[in-house]
Amino acid sequence: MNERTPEISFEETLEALIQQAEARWGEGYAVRHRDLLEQAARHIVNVASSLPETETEPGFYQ
Amino acid sequence: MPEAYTLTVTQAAEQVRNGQLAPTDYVGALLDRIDAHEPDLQAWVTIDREAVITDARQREQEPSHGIMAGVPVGLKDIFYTAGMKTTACSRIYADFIPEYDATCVTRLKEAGAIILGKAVTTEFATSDPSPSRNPWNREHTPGGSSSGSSVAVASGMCPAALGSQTGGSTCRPAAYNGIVGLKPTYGRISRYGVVPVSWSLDTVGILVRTVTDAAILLQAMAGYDPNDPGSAEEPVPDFLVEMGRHAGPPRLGLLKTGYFFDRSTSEVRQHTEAIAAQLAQAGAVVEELDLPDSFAAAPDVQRIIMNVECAAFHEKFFRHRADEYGPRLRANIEMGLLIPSVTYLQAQRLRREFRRDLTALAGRVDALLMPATPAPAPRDLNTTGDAAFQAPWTSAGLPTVVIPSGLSESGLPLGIQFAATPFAEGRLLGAARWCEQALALDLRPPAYS
Repeated sequence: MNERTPEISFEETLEALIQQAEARWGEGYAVRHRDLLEQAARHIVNVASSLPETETEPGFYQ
Repeated sequence: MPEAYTLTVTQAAEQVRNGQLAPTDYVGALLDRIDAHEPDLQAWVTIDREAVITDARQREQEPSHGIMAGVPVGLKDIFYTAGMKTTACSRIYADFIPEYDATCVTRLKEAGAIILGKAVTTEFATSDPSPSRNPWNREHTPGGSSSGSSVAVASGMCPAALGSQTGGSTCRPAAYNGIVGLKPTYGRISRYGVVPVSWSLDTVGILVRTVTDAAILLQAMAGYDPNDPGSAEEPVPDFLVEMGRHAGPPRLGLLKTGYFFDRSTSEVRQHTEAIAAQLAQAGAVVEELDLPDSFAAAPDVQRIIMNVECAAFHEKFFRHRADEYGPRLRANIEMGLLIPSVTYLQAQRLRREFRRDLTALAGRVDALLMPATPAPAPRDLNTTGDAAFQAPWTSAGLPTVVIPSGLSESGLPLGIQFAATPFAEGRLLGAARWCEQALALDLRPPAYS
């Protein structure tokens, strides 16, 4: 079974990161570090859209 | 008799064991060289002259017959040294004096090595550039994070130094400085007593001038250590014997299409193809291989795992002392704190997949061959360069070695990188040594030769 999850969009992921970052480090954070947040969002989306197929994935219990 | 600073580990240890070279004379010559060039190159954090000379004198009174007999070694300033500061070039650890030696430091000493001093690292072995300068051209980065260790070896301040690699921190600076860098298999050398960046990625690295020297240091340090949860219970072969068993022309898998060549400058692409042709002409079997599909996620996986684990280690300091961190490390920690736990675990699943696929690919040949870096060392002291050609192998845990392969048009070193299956360092080093001998280069930075 393929676990690919294309429904996780870059925009939604970035928005979630911005909200978290501003809650932790204040409102100006997202403006100052927009490029880093975009990079992190890209990493998250790329991982979510590349998940291994469970039939061929190296098993955690092997 | 060659100048002491030109000696390799192999030559120096042999001369010490034969009584041709007194350890006090040897360390004296290297300390003088450090005095002469340190103002230009800024490779060192701590050197205790008296302790080094006392240690060398003791080696003369009680001669070691170990494989590192009387050989001075520099340590990146993240390796614990009992009674000597280990600062990680950070404000957080500025006054930290460990009570014990890292396991790998203990093993080097047991093999007869003399600890010369602590070399500059980027802050906490991450990405804020250090003050070290590239001996080939001081306007270009020496790379990082093992910047001081690489510069010290390249400029003849010491024949060997320890680094570490979480992304590309050993093999990239080795390439930028025209020396040999070895990143062994994950778990091959204990990290007990090494300041961590990322527990599931960190690997002790070796910086030397020849492939044989890399094997000697690996021999001295390899082996299981119950104090390191990531240490592998794998048998440790005699690496020099293993290299001898793989001394013939190697079968090499050139990774020409996709990731490595796409990211390289045209100069690096042409250079790597020319080197592959030269090695084939000399007798190597060179075939082109393609990377597996699962490799595509490797760069994202490495960043996620490194940032999250780095944040986990630093959280206790970061909560109250964030202002004491450099801007890039601080940003990495902050991104690590924001990454969802599910994403971290999915990244670990992907990592297992491409580790399996890369191991299968590497198993088809003696070693995979690729350029060491996308370009020579950038003319920019605000960066440590691009770790893209190392990070996937670090993430997969496969062993890699970089050897110098020529000079760029701008007169900077270029290198090639080899990768092999896990725990096949003997085969990897055998192939690399054959190529080193076929290329027959003797690269030294002109201003420090």
